[in-house]
Amino acid sequence: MEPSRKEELIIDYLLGECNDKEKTEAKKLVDSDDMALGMYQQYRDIVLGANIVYDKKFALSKNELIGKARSITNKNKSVKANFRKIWYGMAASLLIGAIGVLLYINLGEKETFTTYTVPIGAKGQIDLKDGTRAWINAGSVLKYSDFYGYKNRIVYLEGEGYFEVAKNENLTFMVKTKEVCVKALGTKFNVKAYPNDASIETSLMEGSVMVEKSKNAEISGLGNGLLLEPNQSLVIKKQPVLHNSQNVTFTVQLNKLDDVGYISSWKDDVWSIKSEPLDELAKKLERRYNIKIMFSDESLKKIKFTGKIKNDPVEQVLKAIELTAGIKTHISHNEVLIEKDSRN
Amino acid sequence: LQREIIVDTEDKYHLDRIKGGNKESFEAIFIKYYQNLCRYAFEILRSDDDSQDVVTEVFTNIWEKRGEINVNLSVASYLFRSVHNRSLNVIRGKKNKISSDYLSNSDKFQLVLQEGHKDFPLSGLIQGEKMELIKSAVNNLPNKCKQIFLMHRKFKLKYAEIADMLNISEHTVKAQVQIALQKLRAALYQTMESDFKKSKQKSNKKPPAI
Repeated sequence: MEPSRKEELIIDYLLGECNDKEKTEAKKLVDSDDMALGMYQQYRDIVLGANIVYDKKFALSKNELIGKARSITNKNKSVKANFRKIWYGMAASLLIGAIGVLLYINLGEKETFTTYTVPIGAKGQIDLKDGTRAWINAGSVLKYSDFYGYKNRIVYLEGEGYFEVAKNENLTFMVKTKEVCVKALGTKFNVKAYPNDASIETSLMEGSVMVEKSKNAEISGLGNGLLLEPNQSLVIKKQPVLHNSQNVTFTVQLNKLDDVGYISSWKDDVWSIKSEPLDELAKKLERRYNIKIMFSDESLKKIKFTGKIKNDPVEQVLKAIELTAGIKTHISHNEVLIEKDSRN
Repeated sequence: LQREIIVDTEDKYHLDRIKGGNKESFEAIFIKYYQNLCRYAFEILRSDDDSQDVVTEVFTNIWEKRGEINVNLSVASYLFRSVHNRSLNVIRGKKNKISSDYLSNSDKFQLVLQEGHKDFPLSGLIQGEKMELIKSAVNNLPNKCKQIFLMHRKFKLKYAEIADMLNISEHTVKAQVQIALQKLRAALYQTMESDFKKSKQKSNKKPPAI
């Protein structure tokens, strides 16, 4: 390889501008060529150095930003609401003679939804009307209709949630995600269904739940639904991972665990991790701390990590992982680079 | 130069929901980009009020015309391009006060470096002296080169997004970023391998003009 091509490849790699093929090529080059390694180290310092660009100008708190955003969306809202009122008024006066009663019912029954959004870097807890308690993890959205609790007990989830469902034999509690629908009467269970994660996971702590496929998902491994027992975890792997891609294939795997309790420990003060591959853990840390994690080496992603993580600042958590997993981490603003520990 | 198209799935997801009138998604995009877009506008306008006005106009436009938005490449390059164009319009409107050739003004695009941030004390990886060297080397880059380099490192846009935003080729963007990094490396590490330098001069063509 020409030296100038080597340099170009190393720079693109450090700047995150490589496709998968180029990434492999770059890693091979750095591993096999001393001059390339030296070049890589120097450029890495520069890229990280020039990364620490923190501009204090226009620094606003999250609440101030939300306020500014809402002043834009609310301006529009009043116009729309008025329009709708006028339209209903017109429709009502035209039709009232013929199908007045029917229209009245339709207007009265209009379903509205409450959306509960938990941003990245946060956690949320919500008590629903029927006494069901839900904990919602970072970067997730929970939605339910105002019929919830008397006409249905359906919540729509994107992301991860832990549910302690209040008993009601007459009204089935359902968590609907893009791919699966989890049905329960009165139980405790955890559902993880982030659009960009490689799998959808349902874990049962108490009682029983039925996992069925959603209308538009083709998950043949689920058949007409699978009934989970306590301490079972149902993992449905997606291929490819991208949530908006078509022709996704799903593989279903039912795991029996000694104790699934740790799976929902993200909601508690002490978060337990059990033999979790570093790349999966990295995704969870990214959402929990609102950071971006990069790996200098693919092989690091498969290192398994077991341990307990407290509600500590991100630096301390990374230090703990460094010590137990034998890796090195570099933090630069909100980006983290994970590298091999050269002392090992 | 064959590249994959960058798609920030999270941004695209929010954009789809904004088109359907979802306010949470609008807030998510607003929170993610508002401050950096203001900082970018400030690079051109040098006025706090004007910068915030321009960015607010861009977001208002997105919300009010949410059904018609057409994003080809990425939400980020769409936003930065909108802010860039609107900022230039403001400058053109004030022609008498400021030269419209804003890039010739050497005050523009100053690199702001800080050794660590209060929330991330460990981020001061590069120590004082090296940091000063990087800072002065960046500020000595030719203006267009500095602008493109900062678009990549400060505003975290990809080659393709910068190309889309400034309406230049991706090849030019890549060449300018590479030049910037090579200059920084030369400034920081004078002990560059001499044979490496020689072979490079032979093989490297003149960078394309922009």
